[in-house]
Amino acid sequence: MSLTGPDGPPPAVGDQPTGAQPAVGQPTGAQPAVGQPTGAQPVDQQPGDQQREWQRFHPLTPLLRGGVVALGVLGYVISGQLNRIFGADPDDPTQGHWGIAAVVLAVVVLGVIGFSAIAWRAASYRLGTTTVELRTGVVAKQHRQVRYDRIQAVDISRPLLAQLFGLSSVRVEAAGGSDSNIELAYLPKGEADALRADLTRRAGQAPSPTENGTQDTEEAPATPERLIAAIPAGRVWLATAMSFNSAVLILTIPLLLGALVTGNLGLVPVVGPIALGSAGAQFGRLSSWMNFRVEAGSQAIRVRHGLTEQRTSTIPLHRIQAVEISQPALWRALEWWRIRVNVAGVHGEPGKQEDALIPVGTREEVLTILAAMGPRWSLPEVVEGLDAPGPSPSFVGVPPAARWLDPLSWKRIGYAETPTALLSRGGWLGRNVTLVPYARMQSLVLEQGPIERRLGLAGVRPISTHGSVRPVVRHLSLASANTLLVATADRARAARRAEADPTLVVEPTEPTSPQTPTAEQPALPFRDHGVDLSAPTSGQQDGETA
Amino acid sequence: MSVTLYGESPGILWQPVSPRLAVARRVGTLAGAVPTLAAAAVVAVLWTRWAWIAFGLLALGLVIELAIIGRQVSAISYAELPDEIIIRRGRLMRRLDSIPYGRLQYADMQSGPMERRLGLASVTIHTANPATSGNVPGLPLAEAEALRERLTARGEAQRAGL
Repeated sequence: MSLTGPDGPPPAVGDQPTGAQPAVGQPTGAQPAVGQPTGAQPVDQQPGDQQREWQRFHPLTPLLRGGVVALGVLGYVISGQLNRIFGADPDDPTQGHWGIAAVVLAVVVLGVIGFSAIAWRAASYRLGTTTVELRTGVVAKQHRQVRYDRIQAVDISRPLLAQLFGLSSVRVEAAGGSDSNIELAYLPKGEADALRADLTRRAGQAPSPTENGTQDTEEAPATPERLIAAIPAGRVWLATAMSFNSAVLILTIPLLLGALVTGNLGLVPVVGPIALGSAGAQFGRLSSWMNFRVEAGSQAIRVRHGLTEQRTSTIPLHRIQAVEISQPALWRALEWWRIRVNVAGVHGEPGKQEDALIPVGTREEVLTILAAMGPRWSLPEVVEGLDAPGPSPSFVGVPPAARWLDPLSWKRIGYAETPTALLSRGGWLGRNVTLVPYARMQSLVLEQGPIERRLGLAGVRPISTHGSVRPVVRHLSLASANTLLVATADRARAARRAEADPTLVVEPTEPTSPQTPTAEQPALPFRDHGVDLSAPTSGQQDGETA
Repeated sequence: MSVTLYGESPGILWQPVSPRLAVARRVGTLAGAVPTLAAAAVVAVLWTRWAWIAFGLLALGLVIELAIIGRQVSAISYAELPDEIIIRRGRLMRRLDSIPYGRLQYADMQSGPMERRLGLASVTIHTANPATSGNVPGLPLAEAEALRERLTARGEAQRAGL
């Protein structure tokens, strides 16, 4: 490829495929679904082998990326300039100089088209042996790469305008800040879907046996993902209606109407923004939850949703860090629940990112999704935690002193220790259960406020990665909180060791780190998506993602 | 071995941080409060004597804060266990962070102007959750550097995947 000069900057040291990657994307021979060299056999390969060529995006990309607006603005400015240049007669801005005007206009239009074309030519992506790479920029060139084993999720989105042209944008989320994500836009729909499947497969582990023939009878061989839940539109409406924002609207809208009718407008600046905000939030929910479909594959859960903008996000199962199943009080009678997850590297963008695997699901759907997530998440204690109104066998409760702080829910607050995970439950009318595997805990916090201290209570928080699930076991007695902290730290330590050592792995589907993760592989910076960002602190950073 | 939220824990050597951290924090607090106090005094002298009330309240708050800083600093302690570093802090809101070395993404050191003058630095431990990173303030410079290096080395050795 000639258009961007050198064939990419030299990969960072950490990006070199080394022998220490046996766990990542090792194809076990057949991978019929995609039907092209996987490029995931990195051992002893030079970068350049087994990788796809640089690909350009769809030619309409500049147009969709704001080119329409730019053209409009430019046209407006130019028309103003033409008025100035050729005279102020608004009826005939060219004042007879039609030829000059036409030439100027043609030059400008050609310039815009030419510039767009150059920018389009400069942007390309490639699936390399170990990374997906994106090159952009004409003057200031940018080259970003994301290692397949760092990919946390692959989303597809179709903004309205792109839908008209049948185009999609593929967004690759990687561990690290929001600047570690790359967006491959725009691609034809089919190509985007294939790319998503390819990336998901490369990001996942070796294809599991179920994909290579021994499938469920329900699964068509070509489509490993099966639909496990879909939210009907009626439920979306009802669930949206049964929320706090609705109560706000019910209170504020009559006030507003009354103010308008009586002419007493003093209230409007106060109540108006509240009503508007609530209405906006409700609309956001509606449009995000509509057409919600959950599909399960052997290694990932795929969520499609959206009314005007269809979004598809694929969450590799082994990237899920923590799960919360919760229920707003108003949904209690309907037995509707939602499942939220923390996924490493996916930093919630308010309004854009849907962190729910299902925002409103029936009990059966919720349990089906949990089951599809695998044995690590589908635990009998979860159901116990959801249902039990008070003390139950698996859960350790809080002492009666906690009733001063949780007068309604103190009977339900508690934790359960399973061999693989710590569960916490709470809530009175609206209930919740959170689940964090020991192997996914970042750190542990023991905390105590002044009132808790007076009551002899303390709380333990297993810290997950960034996300909306924030597990906490509150208001235990100080002694049992201390015990829980130490016991959990021990279990987490054992779980980390088990994951680091393949011979000790408990769950065969889990990713495993190389046995000697540090021996020959230099420390991989946590944000190693781009060569330009990795250099300065790579010596200190750490983040070998199994 | 048991880890306790406060007081001594059997089998654990809690390391205090330098009392000079209190000096650094007091100077910082004073630097912030003195201009406000001066402004209140100017208003009181030039315009209205009522501003002395504000001055008094501010001064009282400052005195209380200066007194609390000492207790806050003396509440900070940390312990390096074989697999975790444990940091305790807070008097009113007590908190204990137990951070496994294997979860360390990186550790860095900071030293503000006042801390630098007193030869102090703080070490911050970053895990994959940016919101809850551990911070050990008020370490003598050499100790901070050594702690950072130990943390990094142990993080390398015990590294765990996400």
